[in-house]
Amino acid sequence: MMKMKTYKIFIVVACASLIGVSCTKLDEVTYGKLSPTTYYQNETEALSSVVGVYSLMANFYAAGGDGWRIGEYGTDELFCPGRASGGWYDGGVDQIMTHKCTADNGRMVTAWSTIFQEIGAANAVLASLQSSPKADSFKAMIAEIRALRAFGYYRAMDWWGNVPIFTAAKVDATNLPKTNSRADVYKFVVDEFTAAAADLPSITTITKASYYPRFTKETVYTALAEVYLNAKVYAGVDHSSDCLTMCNNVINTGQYALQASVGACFLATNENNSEVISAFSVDPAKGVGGNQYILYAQPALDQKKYGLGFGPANGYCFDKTALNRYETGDARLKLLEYGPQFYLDGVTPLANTSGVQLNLITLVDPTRMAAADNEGFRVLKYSPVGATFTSYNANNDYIMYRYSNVLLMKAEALLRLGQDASTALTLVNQVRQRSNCTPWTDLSLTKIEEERAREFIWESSRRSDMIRFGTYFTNTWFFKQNVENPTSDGWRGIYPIPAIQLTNNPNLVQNPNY
Amino acid sequence: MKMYRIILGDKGSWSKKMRIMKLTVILLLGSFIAMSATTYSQNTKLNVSSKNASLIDIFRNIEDQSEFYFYFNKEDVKSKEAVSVDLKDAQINVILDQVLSNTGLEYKIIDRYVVVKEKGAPDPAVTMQRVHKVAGKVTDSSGATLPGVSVVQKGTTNGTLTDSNGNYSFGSVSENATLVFSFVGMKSLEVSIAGKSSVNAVLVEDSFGIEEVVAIGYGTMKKSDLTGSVASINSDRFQLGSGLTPQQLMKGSISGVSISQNSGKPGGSNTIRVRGGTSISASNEPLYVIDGVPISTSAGVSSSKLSSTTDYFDEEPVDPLSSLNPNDIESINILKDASSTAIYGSRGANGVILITTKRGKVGKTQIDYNFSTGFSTASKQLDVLSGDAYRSIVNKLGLVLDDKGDNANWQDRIERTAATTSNFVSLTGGGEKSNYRVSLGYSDQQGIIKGSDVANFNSRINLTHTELDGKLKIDVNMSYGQQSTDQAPVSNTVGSEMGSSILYEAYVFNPTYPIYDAKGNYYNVPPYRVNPVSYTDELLDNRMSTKFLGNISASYNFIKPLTFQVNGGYNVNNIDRNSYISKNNLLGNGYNGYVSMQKLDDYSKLLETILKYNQKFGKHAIDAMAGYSYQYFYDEGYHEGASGFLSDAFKWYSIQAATSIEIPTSYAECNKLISMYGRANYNYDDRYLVTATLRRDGSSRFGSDHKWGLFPSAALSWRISKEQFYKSNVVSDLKLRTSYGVTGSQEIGNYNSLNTLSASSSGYIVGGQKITIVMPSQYANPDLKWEETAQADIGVDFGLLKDRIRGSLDWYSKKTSDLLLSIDVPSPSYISKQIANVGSVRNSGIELTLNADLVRSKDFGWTAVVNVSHNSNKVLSLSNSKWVGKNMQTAPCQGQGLSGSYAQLIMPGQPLGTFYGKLFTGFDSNGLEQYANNGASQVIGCAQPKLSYGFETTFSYKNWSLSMNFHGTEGNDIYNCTRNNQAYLSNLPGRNVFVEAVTSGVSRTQAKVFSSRFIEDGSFLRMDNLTLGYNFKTKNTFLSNARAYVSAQNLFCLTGYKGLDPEVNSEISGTGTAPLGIDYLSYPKARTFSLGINVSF
Repeated sequence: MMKMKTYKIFIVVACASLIGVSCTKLDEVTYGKLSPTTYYQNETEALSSVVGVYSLMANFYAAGGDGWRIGEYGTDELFCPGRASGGWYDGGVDQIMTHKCTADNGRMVTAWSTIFQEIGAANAVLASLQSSPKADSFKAMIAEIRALRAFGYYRAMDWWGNVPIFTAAKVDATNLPKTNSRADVYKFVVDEFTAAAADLPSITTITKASYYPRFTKETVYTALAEVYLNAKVYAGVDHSSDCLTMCNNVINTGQYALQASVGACFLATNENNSEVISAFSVDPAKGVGGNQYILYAQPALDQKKYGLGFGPANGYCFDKTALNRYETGDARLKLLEYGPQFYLDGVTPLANTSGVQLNLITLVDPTRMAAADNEGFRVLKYSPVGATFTSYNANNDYIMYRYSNVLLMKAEALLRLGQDASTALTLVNQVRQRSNCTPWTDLSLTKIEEERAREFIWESSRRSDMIRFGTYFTNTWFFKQNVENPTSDGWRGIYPIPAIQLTNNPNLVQNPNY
Repeated sequence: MKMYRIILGDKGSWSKKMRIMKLTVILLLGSFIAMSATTYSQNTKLNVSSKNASLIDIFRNIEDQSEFYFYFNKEDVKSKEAVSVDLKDAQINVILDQVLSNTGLEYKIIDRYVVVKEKGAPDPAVTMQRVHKVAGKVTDSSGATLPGVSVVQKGTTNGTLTDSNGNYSFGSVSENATLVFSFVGMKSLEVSIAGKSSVNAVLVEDSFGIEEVVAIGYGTMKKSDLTGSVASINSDRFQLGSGLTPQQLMKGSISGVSISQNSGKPGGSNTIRVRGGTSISASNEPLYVIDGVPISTSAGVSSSKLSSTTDYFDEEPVDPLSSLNPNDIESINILKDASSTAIYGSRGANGVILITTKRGKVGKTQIDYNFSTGFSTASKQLDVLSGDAYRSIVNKLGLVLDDKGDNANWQDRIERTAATTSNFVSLTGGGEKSNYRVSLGYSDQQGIIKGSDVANFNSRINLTHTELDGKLKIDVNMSYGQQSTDQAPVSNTVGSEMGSSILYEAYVFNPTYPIYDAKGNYYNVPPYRVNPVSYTDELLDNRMSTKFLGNISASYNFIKPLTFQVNGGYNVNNIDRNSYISKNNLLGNGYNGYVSMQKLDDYSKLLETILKYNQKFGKHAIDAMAGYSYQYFYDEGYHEGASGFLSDAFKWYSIQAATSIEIPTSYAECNKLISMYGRANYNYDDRYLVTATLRRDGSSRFGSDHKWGLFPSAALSWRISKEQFYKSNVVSDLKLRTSYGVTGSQEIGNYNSLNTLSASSSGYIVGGQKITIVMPSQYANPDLKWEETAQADIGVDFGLLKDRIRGSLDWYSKKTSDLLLSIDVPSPSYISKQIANVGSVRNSGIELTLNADLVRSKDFGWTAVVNVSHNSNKVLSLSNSKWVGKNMQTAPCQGQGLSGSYAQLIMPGQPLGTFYGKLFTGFDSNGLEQYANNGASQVIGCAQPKLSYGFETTFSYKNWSLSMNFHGTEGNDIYNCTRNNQAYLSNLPGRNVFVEAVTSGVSRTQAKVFSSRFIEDGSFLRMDNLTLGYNFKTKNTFLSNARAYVSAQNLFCLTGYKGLDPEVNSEISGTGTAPLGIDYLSYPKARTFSLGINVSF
């Protein structure tokens, strides 16, 4: 009888337990995930997404990032040849270097996503901040996001010209964005920058130590100066006078000054450097980014020279075209590696295990499939000296705008406007003399272009400079020996829209001739 | 003296039975009653001594010391006063006369049976039957004795088992009784005693038994009653050999089910497709149900990789069945059509694989021990330039050669002859109420690439207990398995140059290099060419995966046609994955020792209640069930990376020794599935069979607008051969089936319908302080729901020549709509992909299976099973009103110089797996590739086979048996991406090339291009298994069974394919579901020879 009871109890308990857990509720428990409709309740929460957009924009400047690379490939100062020893070489870069880029190019694909992901992120964060009940207290941050987005569009306009202007938080698949003309995008960028500058704090009002490296009014003025300087290319209208105004806005704060050397701007200690107008923070020890320029560009023997924990990959280099621009004694040559290499003492030869000293020579074979390891000169702006490495990630902040750029832009604007030649000359000589170059007595656009090339080598400025000055199409150099018809190749001034984007969005229009 | 006493059982239940039966006693009267009765009752001397004992106690006392049995009405006896008695060496009548003297009771002795009743009450005997003794021997058709055969008197619970010599005996059965002989794997036999005292039985094997019972999900069914398409394979047809996974046991054996190993890697996963893939972006894996518990294959542990800044360690998923020992599997049933799978509703669309494990059985304890050992070698190597050939071509091209003088084949240097052993022991037994099976298995398998191996430990306990005369049945199954793998880093997920894989390096590394330099260090070619052999000891990738699965099920047949069942299940999986790159290895350049540690855990719990109804009314039979189930899934993961170690000794054992620790990452997710379901089977006279099924599923994964889905199905079958008018000697059995139903696939991931923000693993520094980054992680899609598959099936089951040949032929067509596509969100968007229900795909095909019992004589037997299937797949649409899906590029080409190209295009009108690219027409005089149509892309192949087939046959002669398994495909193409990387001279001199690069005449200036040049015919015929077995004679030994075998796996593969193996599914990162027919740096397939012994005692 006892056993019988036990079974009954068992059955009853089983049924009861069943009723207890029986339910038809399907609520989701979202561990560790937040909802955009309830988050953004204070400035700290808002800032956590604003910095996310900064972090995406920092990718434009990363050495391995296509944001930086396609702003330099195709010019006369950045090459990445194949190495006979089997080193690193990315497919597709040859197309860009030889001005034969196609819509299938893999680097275009990733560059486009880098840029438009940043724009999309800015759109999403902007919409959330604007719809937050605390939106009024986010005014400066909303301006920051608009500036970040405008910067993304500025890059997109520079590289692809005709791109869709889209500002909603999310793309509606049934109403896809449409291509806007480059002139429209130009106007959008100028308007957005202008609106953002109004609400952003000035360098004169913030506490640099706690605000760095967020955007100030002056960051946006510098960006606007650059956009106006290139307005002829983007919109067919000269805006040199607006460029001049913007440059003066920056200069007149009195907060910026040239450093004793260009290299000082790129050291690991470059935070709050008085020449730096804008930068992106990097601190791999804290898990925040990593500066990998030395990994990508330098010859493997630099491991010994700088006592690195890794062997650099011997990738990016430049050839005699760019090297020959520098006059003997130019201090900026110290940022370049060429000829016989020595240890940091400058006398001990940097030699391999067989005792052969590394002697960097210019590139030899334009078929580029098998460059020797010592071919090609290198730029080493982000010095490993004094940097802290986490594996191959250094902690030098990425530089976006330096004061010397504002000085040279102002000089160029004055020259283009035909105004105040002596001020222009003084500004250029200010930059030249800082690097121990002979002061000039007169100026020309060609001279300014060359000075910019010397000053900003590998700072992602050369491509738009060459296009503005026209040399991108008319000159020939190592990988661009045979331009089919230099004068008709103006269409190469904008890159093709990646084919995959045209597939995803049939409203987009491919750029002419691609 | 005591016979097997089911009649009385234990005293408690006997009394109870008496009460229930209301004294309807069956008395057994012997034919020689007069003699034996008097003899026994007179000759048996009893000692009874008790004070104030109840009558029942005294009766029990007598029963205990004799063969007497008492029959009485408990109520009559219980009410009597206690008595005292003290008698020695007394006859039973003396004792009973004294004991019953003042009770008003009388007794009657009939043989050994004593009936006690109220004086004057009518005789209780209802059926007077004669007591009869019977004994005999049970053998199989070959004359071998069968121990452990159950022999039961029909209509009673009176039964016994044959002993080790096949003998049985009954002390008393009625002389006109029928005995039922039954034994697993044999057809039951009923024999009428008809007065005989010796009855021998010969049982025949139930090899292609139409009465076979198959699992159908939430129940079982006689195979002959099936209305749907269910394929089943029992353990006797499993392939034998070392290192086999559960999936490989049935490889090639089931029509419409393709099983391919993703690589030859030990512990690697398999790709299983039931009737073609229905989904593009979501999982195409079938649902696995082990002993009634559905197993999630989509939780984190199935992918085994959380996040890492290094790409060196691959992402091959963990086999969901890795904790199952093949020796524990009794049968595998595969539900294919919608009628069968609809009972699993939103998880049924890709087919359901039901695995039933072996259980204990009534009888004496049996110990089984299985041992096998074997060795494997790589079945093929790729044709890479030797050191001498490399030297010659590099010099000829006038390139700078870094010649270290060797003439190497690096594949030889990383491969080995790999050993495998496995041990398995099980203990089985049971009594009338309970039975058990306990097993332990351990196996150790080396990979053919140095540095890779796997060790499996599995344990299992299966218990069954019945009570209340079998009305209450409790099943307990528990299994625990541990799989420990060391993986050679063979990541084929790396598109960039750095840290590709051991295999890539073995194909490209300079063949003039020795392994070691003069100082004994590995030769490397910085910055990117890592010595292949250094991977085998300087890179560690250990994965420990443990799985627990337990379930308890209780079913109670509380009133005749109704049974109530409760089933609770719990499944826990963990993965600990620890990887390390040594300080010296070039791959860890800059890390100075790099550790990656990750832990992934998931669990699911299941509660089901089912009410079953089973009743016959004349020729009508109804078998119906209705149930409710709740299943909850949780998974979480944690990853940590660290670098900068003083010594290689620290590794993950002491990450506090690291100078730099990455920001750890973690996640947790859960989902719920709530279901109600019902099924009714109606059977009229075994001629007309109807099944209707309905399931309603609700999942937390579905969007707010579609929380619940309804999945109906119906099926009808007609057993023509049972009709009166049916007369055919050739076609002995004939059944027509048809079914239609709707099922779903809910593998859409968690939270994909919600708008969410997540913390990023990086941050940003403002004013020197780190700020956490929170960004959108998912856009809302309230429309998100399951993929829906509507499937129609028409089939015929037939038996020819008295069922010597049995077969099934099925035609099916299934349309999957609301396809889950990971749609590229058009830019600008922070989130690049979004899951949405878009588009549709159709699969249709024909399947044929034939089982032939060709020769069945005393000494010689020959059986064969053939299956052939054809599936055609077509993408119907990639758009709907809300979402615009475009032709989707998939299968990104991998390797240096090829990134940015895609091998496949998914587009309406073409099958999934369509290769799309330039059509290669040859080389021009300059050695440059030429393409048709000015290089415009076009369809250049398809990864889906036109035909898949399998063939297995077994010959047996006396104690010998020889079995063979083959399978193959016809008409499928493979993209040989490895070849695309290495058939170009542009690799030289930094990377070695295939011989083809030299012989094809390709120019050195020809860049690598994806074209039809690398799309190859993947048709093949493989001999999967060849086994020669011998059964030892175990008569008069302590063994009850002994078998030895030798087997060869993958003995040959006939194919024109130039890669390592035509059965390949390279996992390529960023593609979700692995695209079909892509071969990139696949782990070589092994050819294995094994020796095994199975003994039972």
